[in-house]
Amino acid sequence: MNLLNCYKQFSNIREHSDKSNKIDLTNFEFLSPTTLLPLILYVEQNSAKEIILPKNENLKSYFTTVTSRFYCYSENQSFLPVTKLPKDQKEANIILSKIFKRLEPINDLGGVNTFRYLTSEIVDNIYQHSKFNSAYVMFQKYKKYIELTFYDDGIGIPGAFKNAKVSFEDSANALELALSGVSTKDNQERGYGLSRNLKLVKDALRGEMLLVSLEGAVYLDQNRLYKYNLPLNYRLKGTLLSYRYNFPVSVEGFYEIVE
Amino acid sequence: MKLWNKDKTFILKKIISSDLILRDLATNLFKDIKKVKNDAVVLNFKDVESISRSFAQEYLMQKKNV
Repeated sequence: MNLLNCYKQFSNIREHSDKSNKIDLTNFEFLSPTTLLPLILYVEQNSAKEIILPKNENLKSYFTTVTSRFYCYSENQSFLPVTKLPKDQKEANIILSKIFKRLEPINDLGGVNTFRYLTSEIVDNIYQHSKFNSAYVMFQKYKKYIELTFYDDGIGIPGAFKNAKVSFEDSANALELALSGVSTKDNQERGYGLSRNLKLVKDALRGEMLLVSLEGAVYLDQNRLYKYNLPLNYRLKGTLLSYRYNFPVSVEGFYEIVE
Repeated sequence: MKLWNKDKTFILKKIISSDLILRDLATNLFKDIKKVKNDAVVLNFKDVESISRSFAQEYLMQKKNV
């Protein structure tokens, strides 16, 4: 299941739950970070709703583990469970630093520089632009690929553009502009986070990327970039960003790519 | 909490972490530097292992303005 379908999976759970008043995971066999992170916040914001855990024992156990909210890691270091970003940036910096040290050495995942760039610049963007109440990161390493997901419930990229009076045609266009390096900050050195991450994922890691923000979404697969203005049932408060790429992979010319 | 020692030295690993990541921490660092009543301070990068692009860019911009 690609990243776009993982997000659709979340949207379908939410749509069903809005109608039935239950968050029903009974028949699910697989939940990736792209489904899980927005689902966690949905669960948090709908605490009165009954959660029906998956029938599949492995998934049930996985769901319980990754949502246990402890800042901890599995023995085999295959994942970073749902990690809430604190409002305090100094504290967040310490958490990120611990994550780096715990998950490295990661030479088979594109190298330390790539991994840190993918993570640091996105988390910094969350603090710089989103005005979030809740924000989470989660990484999951599977047999052949890794998935990195970031989610905040803030004002979204179109919202940030609107506040900064950056003109755009629609939400999908706002995401395209952000990915091309347009920044809400009046400084020519800004706008490198998302745009260089896209370049890294597309050209060096040859992976997938999904960006969903308010009414817009952009999905990159190995071939091209697709943009969407979303119908009501697929819209999202805040911004979700996911990367997925196969490993082992090495990145040649990191500094030229992010230049 | 006082962030610098008697030699006006800011030990970055101690006041931020061994990884300098978030942009606003660079901004805050220079706010603290400006509080020092002396025209010279020492920024000690010993044991700092990495600096993100955002932190580095903000650091350079703030340094120009000191």
